[in-house]
Amino acid sequence: MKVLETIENWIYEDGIYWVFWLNGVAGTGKTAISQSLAERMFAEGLLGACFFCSRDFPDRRDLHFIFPTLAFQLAYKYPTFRTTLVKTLKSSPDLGYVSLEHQLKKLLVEPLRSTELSTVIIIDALDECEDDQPASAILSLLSRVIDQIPTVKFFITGRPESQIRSGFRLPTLLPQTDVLLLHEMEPKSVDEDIRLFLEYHLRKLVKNRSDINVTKSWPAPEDVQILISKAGGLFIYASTVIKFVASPGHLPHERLQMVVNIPDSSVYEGQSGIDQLYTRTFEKSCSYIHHSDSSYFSRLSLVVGSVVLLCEPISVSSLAILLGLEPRVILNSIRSLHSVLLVPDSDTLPLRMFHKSLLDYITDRDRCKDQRFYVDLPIHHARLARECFDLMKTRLRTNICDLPQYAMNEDVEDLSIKQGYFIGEA
Amino acid sequence: MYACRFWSKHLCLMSRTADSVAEILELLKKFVEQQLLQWLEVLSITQDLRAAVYCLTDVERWLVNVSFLLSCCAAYRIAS
Repeated sequence: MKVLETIENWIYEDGIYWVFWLNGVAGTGKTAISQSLAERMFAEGLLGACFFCSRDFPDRRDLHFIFPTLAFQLAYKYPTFRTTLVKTLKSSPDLGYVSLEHQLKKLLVEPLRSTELSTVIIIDALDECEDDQPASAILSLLSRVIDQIPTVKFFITGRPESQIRSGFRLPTLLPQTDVLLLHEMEPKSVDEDIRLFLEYHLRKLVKNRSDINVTKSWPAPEDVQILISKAGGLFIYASTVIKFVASPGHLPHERLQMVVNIPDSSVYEGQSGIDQLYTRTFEKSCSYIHHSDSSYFSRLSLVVGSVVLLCEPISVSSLAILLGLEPRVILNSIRSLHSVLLVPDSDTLPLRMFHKSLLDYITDRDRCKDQRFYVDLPIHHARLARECFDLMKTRLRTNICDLPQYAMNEDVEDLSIKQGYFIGEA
Repeated sequence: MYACRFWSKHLCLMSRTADSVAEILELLKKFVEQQLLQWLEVLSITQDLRAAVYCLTDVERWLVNVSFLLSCCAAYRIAS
């Protein structure tokens, strides 16, 4: 709540800062804050446009979608902006496909300058976009035009990765940027937010379950306190706990006790919270498997490693084809990992990890100490490359879709059906 | 479709040990010799021909890197 207050002050006051960088490591709640902020600003009528980047969706990790999306939303909200933009688009209709620089100039800067709108634009999780520039491409471009649009405030969140950091350090951006380090916030106020979050969700959890009779107040304040200290300021920990406790096959009280009873570790607290949680989740998921069952564990790390390393999430059935396994084998390996992987109800919907921090954890030998779960990044990529080649070797053939000879793609009416049938997602 | 679009990404991020590179090089060679056109056909049908350009750029970069590595290995073997 304190964070939101700080941000709102920045929005309402005419300060010298036109850009706000909410800087936080994985799992500190950046996206949660952006969402609340966007909702509030929308209610106040101040929100011009927002873009939530995400590495899980192709259209949300491509830099080329950011400016057109923002322009579209601004045009939707402000009629004057719309009029100007329509004029621009009529004269050059291919603006969606030109360079980022040109996009920014034509779609945002020029219409914003001529309409002099004062508005707020939100870009969340900039680090999740695909960008190979040394300094974030979006920030470099923004730094060049920020002086030309003095009525617009930009709220940007991102992990303190080198691209983002060097982006905000650019000479024209630096003096205009207000930075809030989320992971260095006063721990007390973050803890208070996590407490509210935990209590709200845990209560909601038992309220929705008919099989539970709540006799005394739940959760107990001392348990919540333990969870808060374990979270070490990470929102992701709190939401992972909620997912773990919410497991429909178990009693919430027992599940909560299990988490509360994880012995304290002496590793620095910030990471240990989430690391222990991941470790515990993995150990729990195979507590009934014999330790020496190495084929089970190699399959587990193959499946989990693939889910976290694939360039784009694919469904269980497609993953099965790619890895040459049965879908039920895959589901069996991950059946107890629902608090860290988003397992859809259907085999045809994408399987993805809940939070990027799982990738960081599982590929870091110092953090994921249990060798059975550790994923060696380069070796695993080699495996995936091999699987891709193998699959293409078995499946590719000339005229794979049995199209009539000399037909053009656009002349084949049911091409997308044929594509799904003959080519498939894997 | 995933395999067709993303194999080169995994190629670039994979381990650079002589053994695994040699193994993948062999697969890549077979692929280029036998399936390049079929691969392009799939990308054309899925309207993703752009991916082919990115893919081949990745491969080019990877080959430059590993050929350096392999020549170092060869030089080392001769020297010892």
